[in-house]
Amino acid sequence: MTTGNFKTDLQELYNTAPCGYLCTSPSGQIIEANKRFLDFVGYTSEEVIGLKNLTDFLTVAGRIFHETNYQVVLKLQGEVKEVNFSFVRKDLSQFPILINSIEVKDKKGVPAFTQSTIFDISQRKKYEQQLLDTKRDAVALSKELATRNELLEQQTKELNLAKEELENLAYVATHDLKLPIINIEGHFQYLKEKLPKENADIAESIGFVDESILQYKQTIHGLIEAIRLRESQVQLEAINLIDILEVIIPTLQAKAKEVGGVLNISIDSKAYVWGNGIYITSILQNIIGNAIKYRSSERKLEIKISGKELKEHFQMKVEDNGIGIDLEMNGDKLFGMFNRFSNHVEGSGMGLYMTKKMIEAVGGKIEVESVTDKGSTFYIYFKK
Amino acid sequence: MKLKEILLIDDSAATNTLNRRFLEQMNIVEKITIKLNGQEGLTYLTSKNEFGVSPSPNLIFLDINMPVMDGFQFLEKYDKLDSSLKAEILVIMLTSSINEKDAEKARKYDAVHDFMQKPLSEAQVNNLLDELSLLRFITV
Amino acid sequence: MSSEILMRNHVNVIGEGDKTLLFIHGYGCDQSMWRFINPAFLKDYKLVQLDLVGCGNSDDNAYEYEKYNTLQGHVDDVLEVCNELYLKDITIIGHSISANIALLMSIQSPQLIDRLVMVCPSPRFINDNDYVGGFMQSDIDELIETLDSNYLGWSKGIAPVIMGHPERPELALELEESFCRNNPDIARHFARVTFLCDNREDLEKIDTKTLIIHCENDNLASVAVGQFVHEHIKGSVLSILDTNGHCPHLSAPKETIEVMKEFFSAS
Repeated sequence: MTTGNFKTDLQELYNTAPCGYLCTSPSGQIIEANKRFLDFVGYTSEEVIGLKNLTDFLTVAGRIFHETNYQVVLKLQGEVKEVNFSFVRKDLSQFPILINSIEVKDKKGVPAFTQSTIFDISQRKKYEQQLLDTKRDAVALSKELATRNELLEQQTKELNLAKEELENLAYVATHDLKLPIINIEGHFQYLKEKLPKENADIAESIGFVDESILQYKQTIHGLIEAIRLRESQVQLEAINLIDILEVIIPTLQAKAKEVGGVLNISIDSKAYVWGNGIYITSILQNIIGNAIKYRSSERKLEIKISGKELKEHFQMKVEDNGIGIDLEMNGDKLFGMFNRFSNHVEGSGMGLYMTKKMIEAVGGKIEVESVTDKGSTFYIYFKK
Repeated sequence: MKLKEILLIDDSAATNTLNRRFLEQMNIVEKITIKLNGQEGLTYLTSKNEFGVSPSPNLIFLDINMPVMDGFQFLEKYDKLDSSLKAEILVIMLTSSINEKDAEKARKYDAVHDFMQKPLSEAQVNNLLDELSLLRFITV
Repeated sequence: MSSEILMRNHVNVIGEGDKTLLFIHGYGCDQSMWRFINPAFLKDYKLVQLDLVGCGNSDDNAYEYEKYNTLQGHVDDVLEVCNELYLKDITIIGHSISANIALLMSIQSPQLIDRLVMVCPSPRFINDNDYVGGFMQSDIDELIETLDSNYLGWSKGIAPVIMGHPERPELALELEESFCRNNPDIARHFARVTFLCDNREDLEKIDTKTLIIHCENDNLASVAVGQFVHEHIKGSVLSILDTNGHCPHLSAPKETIEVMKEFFSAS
């Protein structure tokens, strides 16, 4: 490139520059343009110099913007930077450009001519458009999100209100049901004494009434317990399962012995879990108690209680050889309310429902395996 | 005229005794059979006597909540029984359930003639007798 | 001057004379575009300069899209300013679309206005049957797009972001002193209102002495448009300057001042 001739080198630099150079008169006519510019617009220098204005390469909208913004700032400030126009080529195709212009004044301060550099920003325009589109989408999305959040908040509020109402209702209902039954019980005791129990039918009915009153009271009590459990906040702390077992096993062992059964326990000395002492006591009593209750009459009752540490939980296993549960038939109702599965045991049926709720309240879970007439295994997982 | 047999399927001895006494007092049936859950009910209906004949009660009063096999589970199995076993039997769901969904569910079973709340009343029983005769299941 | 109305339109009053000249800038800029004209009239006149709401340093918060859906919004504003300043017998110099604003003002408050100077006015930009405004609807739509692509450079709304130094507000101020920065959404709206205007019917209703200045080569308002305006305002004077572009007060200030002075002495 360097020929040693300064003027020629300068000329070459001017023409091969990566941007278009344009020099225009105050009226807008093109005085000088470099080769790059001419290549941009697809014209020869003879077609442009002294003949065309900058505005000839603009679209109609561009011309409006040129008059209302570009020219104004150029006149007021003496220069304009980074204005985006669409240039129209000789073949009428368009491409986006960025133009910087400076007004050059003569010694008297009168505008002599304007120097401009022009960059082809086709690539940049694509990015810009993508950015603008993405921004628009983001704004729309965030608006939608805000609306949805509002809706969600509203719904949560309504749900909470409904929940509260329901709990109140349940509470009131059970309390209102308590009084009549107490009255029935009382008056029935009085009537019992006056009735001729020698009559077989009468005795039978008395038995049924007593039984029903008891069942009634147990059910109400169960309901109230269930409601209380929902409302209360559980206090969680570190619990040693061994401590709890030490307290409840003696009684349970005695019960088992009464019916000719036996309890086997094997747990690590370290069985620390995260939970609530009262709840865990109740849970274990319930499960082990059930194992005793639902024993088989055909074999000696044997209950194996064990525990092992897992990654995030501590697993308690209560395995019995009792009558088992038909999980296929009754599996989904097992932990539901008011369910009993065999004819030969009394109870309000709230046991397993409450037990499960309590386990969940301390952040644990419960699972069952069972074969009819072979036995059941309950797995209780406590958080560590 | 009297019905031949009414079958009561309910796990509550107290309920069964009440119903039995009530029906006996109305003097409308010769034999009342009591079964304690759906399983026992099915076993009874499919049993054969020394002549190879299965029982055919005119009315079955069926409770919903029973252990071993509840009312709906019974209906599932009952549906699949041979129609000869089910001919001329009206199944009434007699329950203390106040749950709308139970009533809806009950009515979906072809076998179920009606859904009634405990306790049984004289009017209800008389209605059933009328319906039985209209269906020519009995002659009044 | 601390009244809310004057602050809203960033009103500046300069000059030592008695008679009032009220300057209203056109679309795209603000009162700074008169800076080459002002000096010539400071001694003999009182110059009232303002920024239309949404432009320049006016109060952007006062820009209600409903209100400014037509030019009447601005007409009401400027009349309020005149009222606030107890102006009377004024001359309004309105550039481009603001010539239409001045036109409406003189119809609605004829006793307030003595003379009108319309600099490159156009009563309607879009062609209509025989009327040649110079543009098609599609051209205006394209303009809006061009505004969108340029807003990054022109928006004072995001000046601190451009500077990247929100903890140094003085830098943002520096940017804001630059000319003709505006809120991109407002600019878009104002462009629509401007280029979709149609005040042809109002021309005949004026009963004020009017000077119409046009440029020989104006892409926005051709000489033909100038002629149209001249023919429909009775008693008006049409002056065509030998200059290019749409802002003779910027590109040919000397000639513009001359023509104005001639008009003032004649009336």
